[in-house]
Amino acid sequence: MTPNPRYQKPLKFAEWVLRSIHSDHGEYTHLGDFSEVSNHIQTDRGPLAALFWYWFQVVRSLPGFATNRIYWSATMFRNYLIISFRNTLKNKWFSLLNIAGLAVGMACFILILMFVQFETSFDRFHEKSERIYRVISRNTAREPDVTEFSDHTPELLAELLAAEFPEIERATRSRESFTDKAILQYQEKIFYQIGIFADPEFLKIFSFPLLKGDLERALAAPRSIVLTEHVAQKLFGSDDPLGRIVSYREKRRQYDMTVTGVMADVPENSHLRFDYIISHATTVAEEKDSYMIANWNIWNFATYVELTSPEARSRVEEKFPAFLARQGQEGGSDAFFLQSIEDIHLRSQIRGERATNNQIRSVYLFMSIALIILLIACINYMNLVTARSMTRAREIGIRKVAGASRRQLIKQFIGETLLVTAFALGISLLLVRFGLPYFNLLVGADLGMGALSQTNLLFLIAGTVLFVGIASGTYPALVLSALKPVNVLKDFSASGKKGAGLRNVLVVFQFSASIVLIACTLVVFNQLNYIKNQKLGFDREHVVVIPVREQETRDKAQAIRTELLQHPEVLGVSISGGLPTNIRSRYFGGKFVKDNGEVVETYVCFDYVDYDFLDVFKIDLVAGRNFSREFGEDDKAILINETLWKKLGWADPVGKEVDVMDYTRVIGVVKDFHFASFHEEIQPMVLAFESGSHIAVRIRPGDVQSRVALIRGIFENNSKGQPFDFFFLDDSFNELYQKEQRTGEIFGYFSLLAIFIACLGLLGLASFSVERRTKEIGIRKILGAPVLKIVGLLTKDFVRMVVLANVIAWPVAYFAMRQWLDNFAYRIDITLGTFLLAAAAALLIAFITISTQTLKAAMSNPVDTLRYE
Amino acid sequence: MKLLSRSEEMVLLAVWRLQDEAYCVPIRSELMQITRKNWSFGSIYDPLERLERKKLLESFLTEPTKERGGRSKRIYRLTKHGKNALMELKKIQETLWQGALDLKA
Repeated sequence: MTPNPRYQKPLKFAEWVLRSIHSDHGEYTHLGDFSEVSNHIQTDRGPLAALFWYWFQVVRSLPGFATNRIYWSATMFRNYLIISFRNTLKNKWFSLLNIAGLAVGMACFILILMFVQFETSFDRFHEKSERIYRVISRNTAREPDVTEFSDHTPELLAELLAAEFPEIERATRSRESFTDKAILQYQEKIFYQIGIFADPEFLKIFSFPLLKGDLERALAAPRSIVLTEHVAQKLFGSDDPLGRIVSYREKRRQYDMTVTGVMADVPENSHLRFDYIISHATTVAEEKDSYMIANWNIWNFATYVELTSPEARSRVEEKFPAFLARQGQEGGSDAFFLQSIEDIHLRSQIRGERATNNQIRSVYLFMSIALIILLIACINYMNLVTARSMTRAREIGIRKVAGASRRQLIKQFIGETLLVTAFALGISLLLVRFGLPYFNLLVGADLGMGALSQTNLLFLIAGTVLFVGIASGTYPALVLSALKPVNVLKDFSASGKKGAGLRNVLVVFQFSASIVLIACTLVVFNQLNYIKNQKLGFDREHVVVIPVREQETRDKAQAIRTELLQHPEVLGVSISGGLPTNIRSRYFGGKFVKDNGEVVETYVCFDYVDYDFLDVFKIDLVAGRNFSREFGEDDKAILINETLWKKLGWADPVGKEVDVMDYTRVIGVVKDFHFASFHEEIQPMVLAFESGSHIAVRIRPGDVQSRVALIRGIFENNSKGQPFDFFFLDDSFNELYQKEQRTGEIFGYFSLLAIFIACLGLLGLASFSVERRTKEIGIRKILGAPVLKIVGLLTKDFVRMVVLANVIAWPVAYFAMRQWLDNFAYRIDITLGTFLLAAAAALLIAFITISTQTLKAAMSNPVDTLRYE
Repeated sequence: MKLLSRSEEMVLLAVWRLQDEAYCVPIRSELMQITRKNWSFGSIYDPLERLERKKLLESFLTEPTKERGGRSKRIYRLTKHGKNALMELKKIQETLWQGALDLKA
């Protein structure tokens, strides 16, 4: 009887399903039974009925199938578990090496994941973070080949934008105070704090919750201040701060502020950092600040906007040129753009930005390091397991004979790896817990174990464990499951040759990676050393700097200076605006006329200095004269540096006419000095006269403590209202290179880790290879080979691998370091010596690692090794 | 001698009755016919395998047939032990029933 063709396909499908889940030991007799009955039904009741019946039988078979599977899986799982444990315990050392390697690798990875997560989470805690943008401007005016972005905008921009763009829901403006820190005082409690000025929209755009106070009114009136929680705590303890008066003092401004609100502390992952907010209305009401209000020429403010939706961004940007034209600002070629606040921390490359930016490179760097280390750990595992593959030959042989399929064996070994990995995870979490403080110090972050509880981080970690387990386990599983039962019967003290080739390749790779890291570390530290020892053109040692932050100190500055100079320990005092490590204006426009009459408009770096600046910082003059007391306060005169002189090509610079702000005359030229980091070439520089922001004291080398105490005494005598705060000039110089210093340290530590893990693997391999050759060594000894020769024999192979690793590592390291060094305008050359040093270090470490095993073997008594033959 | 379970006993009997054509499908249809209950395949396979394990049945494969989609049948036969077991069971049954009908309630 021919079956109805319409029901063939579903019937065949049903059959296939049944066949998969029914266990009739491959005889298919049961399937035959089903076919027979279904055919009967087909003839009796039709094909549809048969189909239904068949499917019904499929469904009925499911519970049996399921329980069967579960039962057997559980049984096998128990078996695998027990075998795993036994194996681990039997080879204690190997297991330890394996677990240690994996644990360390995973710990590094987790730490770095936490760091990366922190870095990428910046500014995302604001509810509307995807719609909040900062307005940045692009300036190409003065120098055509220099394109710079800036986050400074005029004060009125915010209001205008909110009014004229329907896509902009709100806009706010904020600015920093003139000094880096200002004084807040309540009764006798007096502190330095950092803060900003902002208008009421600020708190509505950003999610900085107000704990006390009214959102609408907190920043509305002049002389209002909103304190952050910890500052309120410092000033008022547990009292209610609302309505109280706090005295605010910074350079040339002092106000009595009314506390109109208390807000939660600013979280760590925010590019905006402040301890208080003062109402913008205060600035508007202040006559002395009127020049910066509603003035298109003064760009002092940061403008943030909240868009209706992220898609509106390009529309708004397109409308900017027309907007600028309407304001009569075209031709200034200042184009505006919107920068998402989520991008600021990672991708902003604005120079002189208030917050740390451009961190995306760090993030990539860290991720690469993490992956490299994890890879090394996985390779370790692979090597160690495959090397020992013959020790499990018996077990595998018997399993195969008892009917295990290759797939089952593979599952078993991957499962084992996952188990080991999971266990290593436990240990790595412990390592993370105890290593976190050191890690925080190293990268300058403040991470806590709480960061681990973020869900996506947990997923990532789980995923990592899975990945590590499967990646490390697959290759050994494949190798082990391929062992033939026949080998069980053979004498298996030999062999272990299985996969030796690949193992060696992997070891070479591990060592390459380690050598690259070592070489990079060396280069980074060399460069840092170079920077530290380089002649800067000024003397930064033994200088104590006191920032002048408020009016009283300013007034007393000269008196302080006079008194200080009476002491022999004080060699000089300068009361300057700028410091050699901190020339504050970068893009000051200036017009100059060359000898041939050509007018040059160029950007210069600009700052104020006093009479004693060159003297205290030991900067040389190469032409003309310094500002001097004989000539008095010259408010039209400037000093320029050699670079600017060269750029303008004047024959005689002294007396030349210029147009820089209000200054018109050059009186002298100073020798070039590095006032910025070594990342940049020395820029043209103009120095004008004004006394004021920093009291720099050069002290005689010697007892630093007492000298600082002396200075402190004199300062506090004279300036009652300002707390004494100072820093050393060379410390502030070092801060320029903080990032590089960190990079160096990070490279250093991680190279150490990488080599450590690689050595764990090497130790395992060496010990195994030595074990294999005990008989050979015994015979050689009997035939008279000296201990050293035997050691040489054993280490020869490994040494060869390390040397090969160098060949691969050197070009990679060179390329990477070349890239990094290109960041610096002034840099060292990468010499061969560095690479040789790295190579030697790797070789030495490898040798020491292996020597424990080889020496033991070489000195063994042949009697023991050849006893059983 | 171990006692057999009900379904084991019935399957055994069915095998005996069916003589040469004792494989799953006829066993099942026979039992379904007699007991007028629906027997699942599993309730046939399981006793058959158990009985074979206990050496009360033996089995062999036949040639594949087209009717079964090209698959073979497994035919079961009583062993000597199987026959003995059935006879003993019968005796026990008869003993138990002896005179039971005459008793009250």
